[in-house]
Amino acid sequence: MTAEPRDAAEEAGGRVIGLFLDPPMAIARVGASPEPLEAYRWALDENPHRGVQTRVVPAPTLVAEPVDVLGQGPMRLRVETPGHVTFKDAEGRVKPVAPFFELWARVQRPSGRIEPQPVTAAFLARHGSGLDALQFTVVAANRKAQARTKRAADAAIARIVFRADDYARHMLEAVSPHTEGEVPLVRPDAPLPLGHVQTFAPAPGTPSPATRLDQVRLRFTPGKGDSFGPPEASQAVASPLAPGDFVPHVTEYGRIHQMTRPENRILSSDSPWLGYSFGADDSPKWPTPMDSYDGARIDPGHSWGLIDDTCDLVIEARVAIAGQLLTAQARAFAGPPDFAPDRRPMYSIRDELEDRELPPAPLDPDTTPAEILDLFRRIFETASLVNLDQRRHWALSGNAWMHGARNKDDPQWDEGLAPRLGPASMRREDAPYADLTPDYTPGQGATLAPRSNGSERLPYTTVVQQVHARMADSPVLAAFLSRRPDRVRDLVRPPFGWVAELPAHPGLTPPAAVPVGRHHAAGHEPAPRGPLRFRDPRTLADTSYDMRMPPFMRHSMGVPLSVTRRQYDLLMAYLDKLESDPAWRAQAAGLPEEDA
Amino acid sequence: MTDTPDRLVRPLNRAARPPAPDSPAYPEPVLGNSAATLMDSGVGNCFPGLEFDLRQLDVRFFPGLVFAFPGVTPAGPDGTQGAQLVYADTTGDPDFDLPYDWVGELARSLGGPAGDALAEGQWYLHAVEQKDRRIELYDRVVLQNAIHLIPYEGEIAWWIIRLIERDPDPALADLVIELTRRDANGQPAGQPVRLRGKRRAYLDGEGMISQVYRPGELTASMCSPWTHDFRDCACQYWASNHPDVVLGEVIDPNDRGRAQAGQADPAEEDDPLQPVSFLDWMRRRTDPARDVQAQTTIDGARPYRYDPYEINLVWQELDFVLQGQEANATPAPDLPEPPDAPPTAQEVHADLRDNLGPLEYILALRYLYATFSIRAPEEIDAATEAAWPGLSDDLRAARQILLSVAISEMTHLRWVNQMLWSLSAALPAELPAYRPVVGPGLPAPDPDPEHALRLDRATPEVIAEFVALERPGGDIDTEYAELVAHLRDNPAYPPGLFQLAVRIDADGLAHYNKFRDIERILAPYAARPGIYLRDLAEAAADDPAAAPALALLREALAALREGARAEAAAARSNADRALAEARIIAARDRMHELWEAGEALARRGKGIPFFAPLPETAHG
Repeated sequence: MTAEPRDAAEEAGGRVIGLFLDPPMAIARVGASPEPLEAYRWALDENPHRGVQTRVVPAPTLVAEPVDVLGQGPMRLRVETPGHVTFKDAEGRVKPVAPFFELWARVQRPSGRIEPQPVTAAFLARHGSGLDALQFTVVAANRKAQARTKRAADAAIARIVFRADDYARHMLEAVSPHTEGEVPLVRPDAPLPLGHVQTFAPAPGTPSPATRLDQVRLRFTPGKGDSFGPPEASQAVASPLAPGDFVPHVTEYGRIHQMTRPENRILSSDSPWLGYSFGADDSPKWPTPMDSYDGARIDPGHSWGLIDDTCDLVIEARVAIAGQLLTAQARAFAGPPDFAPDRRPMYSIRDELEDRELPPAPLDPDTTPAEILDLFRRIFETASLVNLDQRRHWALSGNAWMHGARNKDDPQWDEGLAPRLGPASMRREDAPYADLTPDYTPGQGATLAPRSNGSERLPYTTVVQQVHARMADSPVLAAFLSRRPDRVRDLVRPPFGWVAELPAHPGLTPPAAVPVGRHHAAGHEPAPRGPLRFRDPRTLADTSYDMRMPPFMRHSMGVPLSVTRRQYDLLMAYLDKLESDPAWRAQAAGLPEEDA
Repeated sequence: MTDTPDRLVRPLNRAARPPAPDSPAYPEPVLGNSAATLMDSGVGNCFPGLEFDLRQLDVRFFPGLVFAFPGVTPAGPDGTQGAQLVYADTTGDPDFDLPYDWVGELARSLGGPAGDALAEGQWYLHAVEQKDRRIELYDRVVLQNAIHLIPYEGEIAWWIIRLIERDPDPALADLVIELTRRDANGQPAGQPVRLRGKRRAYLDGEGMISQVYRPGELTASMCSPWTHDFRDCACQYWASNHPDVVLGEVIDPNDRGRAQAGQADPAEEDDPLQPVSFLDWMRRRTDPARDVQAQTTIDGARPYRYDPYEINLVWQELDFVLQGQEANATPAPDLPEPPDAPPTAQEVHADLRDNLGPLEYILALRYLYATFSIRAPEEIDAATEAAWPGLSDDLRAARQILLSVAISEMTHLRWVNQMLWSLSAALPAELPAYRPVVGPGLPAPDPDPEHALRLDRATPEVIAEFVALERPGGDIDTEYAELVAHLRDNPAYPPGLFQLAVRIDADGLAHYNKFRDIERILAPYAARPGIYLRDLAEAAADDPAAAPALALLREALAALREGARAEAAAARSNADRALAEARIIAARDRMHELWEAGEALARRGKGIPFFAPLPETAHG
């Protein structure tokens, strides 16, 4: 956030009515390097030889440097834009992503207008306070073991409190809460390092309106991404099977690996987390998937007692101004690195949050085309790194199991179903869904795994990349959506209906129809077609994998993925307009307005 | 800022510039933060997720209550699966500070008899009711004339909760939930508890997930350690952060920026043949098999991937991936293209109409003809396969790749037409009205080699010629690069139109690499091309055997022409839009039939004389 520079008289006026941290939520990403990753932005690459696609470009980076020339004491920040972003350091360690949080105040001017102001030492002084009265509280926790054992003494929690002018590095050293006699997973004498937080001394000189290096900023640097365990968690035989498969308790066939560094074997051996088993007593457990810990893959699924140094945390800033306590909160999550930084998810955390929280996106000729284009660009970006051949094989094999097919390789086991669920999926027999893929892969028959050898690459993966690269281009996408709206409607997997759109009992009546044509221009009569229905998560048909888009990919809780309801509704509404309203098509084609 | 009726969802980031149809804005983080800190960079579908587990939000979907969603164990359902109530407690739940009637009623209920009841024994979510629809979280089965209720497992129960809408009016309590206990058989038992309320708003007024979720709660359900999931999850839904496959090194003679950064050497004329390969990103970097082609099944890939436990210590060996290839640093900025004298709109238009359009058509049919000249795998007898192991697979691969380039050229022809009609619409006074270009162009007395109407079998020499045609930096590539510059720099044209030329040019690089790939695949047979080639000769124009195929070609071209003409007018007419759709579908149907007819002829040694005189082939 940047604030417009204002004259001193204006800045002096007004009352502070609240504080906030920007961003309200940020993702930190682990890495063992002591150097944080340089900042980068997404930008559009229009190089004619590479095609239109997203790339990452270096962005203004805040570099911490000691205030004192001797390198002691507080740190301050300077702005530097690097020539390259280098994701690993010279020793091959991943650089962590360590987000900053800016502290802002909401100030009401005498005119009544409310505007954001950066919180600085000078700002606080103007309002009768100071950095030494601004307090930060950071609580970070890793509750992964606790979530399984249901024991608070298996949580790892760090809580630190400091003043904004205490520029030291505050280590988030987590321990397990426990009562007398209880065994803590993380002992107080061997805390779990969840990273650190830090504030910075104001930079000298006149603050730049664009960078405001005098503003209060807190930075969270996550842990290294290490695993920690009890002394028992040293080395073991790894299951040689594929993910999701379980190996009987015959362990001599796998490779033997160390699972923790010796210095990280600091957890208690006497916590029930070591030896926990999801299969114990045959009762179902939450969280799911239940086998999501080291040790689960080899019968009887005993946990090695490992946790990591990731966490999620809440930052709170508190200051009293004019007799009122003002607070601001923000969250951070420590996750894995984004290993493909220029490839964005088509279904992001933001999409999920918006789908849950916001009303339907408005249909607007000025914004909708860009939103849909951005969606298709993100679809390409995700699709470009998917091994669709593997996905297809995995999903269709699963279908055969779910439907009790005697022979999963039999191309006819799903005869009569549309879309097809067996080896005929995405082949010519899968009409009307399959169209381009059979064109591009004429030598592939109806098989689960493609016929492929060292020469042939991944035939389905190749096609999806080729087809979706085009859809990332504005004129190609606009023309395709205008020309083939029914094809897109058929091809995009509908999301599940809302509760009110589902039948009271599954199977008796179908879920509500997708309202195709709701946004048609006046007077346009749509061609008759079978109704598209929202899906119902309770039915086998709607939780089987088929080639509808996104093909064979997995959604939350292991069902076939769709785009969000909000994305889907906007796409369907846009198709209505493109099909029925020449003005929308003219705009999509970039024709002059007077021609429309 | 996005105002919604009941709260202010502060954007999690801001757009740098207003979106335009051709160029959506990327979200911008605050100063110093990477795009990787944004919620846009994390994957939102989760089982259980990478950055945090969004399913944890639903654990507290109803104010005052906390649920868990156990599934079933391998032993099967035991009647305790579904949405289990963990506890009911209003303490510390900010929703109970809201000033609405329903909040008070719910607080009184949970503080009174309902709360007392819920404190005893194990309770389950029985039903949800919204907008007059009641969904019970049970499957109904008739057993011996009695209804038996089988509780849904946690996955389905969670989805039903996820599908509860949140009405934007915060005062409207539009959700009723019902809880029951269960007997030993999993059947609902005893008096239910009904509660009226509203689905929680997960974000607060500042855009942060509500404070009711304590630190550590949103990541509690994720894998432990995180590397377990990173290696072991069968989901593969997160390719944008955790690629399944990456491209092996791709030669791009134009890519001077990348070359400067030391990431790839520009291709030299005598480059060894380099396959365009997909590598499994999770492959063990220390294994000799690390450069083996990515596998088509998970089981096939497993031996080459990092093991459980191993990944905990070596995950930093995994490479970052930029533009689909492994690279641990961003490349140097592109060097500027050498400036050329800008062509006029008329020159560009004429070049598209008379040169590039016909060229795309000619290449499409030349490549298609070459595809027909390669034997189909099923034509290889056992003895030949035994003598030349892998021949069938190589034939399938070569045909598939060659055909994909032919289809791609037909797509380019369509895009050339789209550029033509867009230019004519943008500059009606300066350029002639649009006419479809679907054909080899007017016969020239002395055509350049690229425009020669030749049909050849895919001999090693011809494949080498195709490589040369598509070579980056060659004539075709250079022409499109100039076209990009012209279209991008001229404000009279529709914004984004240049992207069509960018796409064609970028495809050219892909074609170049594909032809090099075919060269490599067929190299073992170069000394005896008869092994892989059909004994194919171009049929005479008047050969009756070829007449049906030529008729199909004629019909396909007519449909394409009509479709293009209609599509050019579709921005002004619904009838033309519908016609364009119908004719393009018809053209595709004819092309499919043409493929079948061509294959049948080729098996008899006859090649379709694609360039035989056809009525109406030149410029419609």
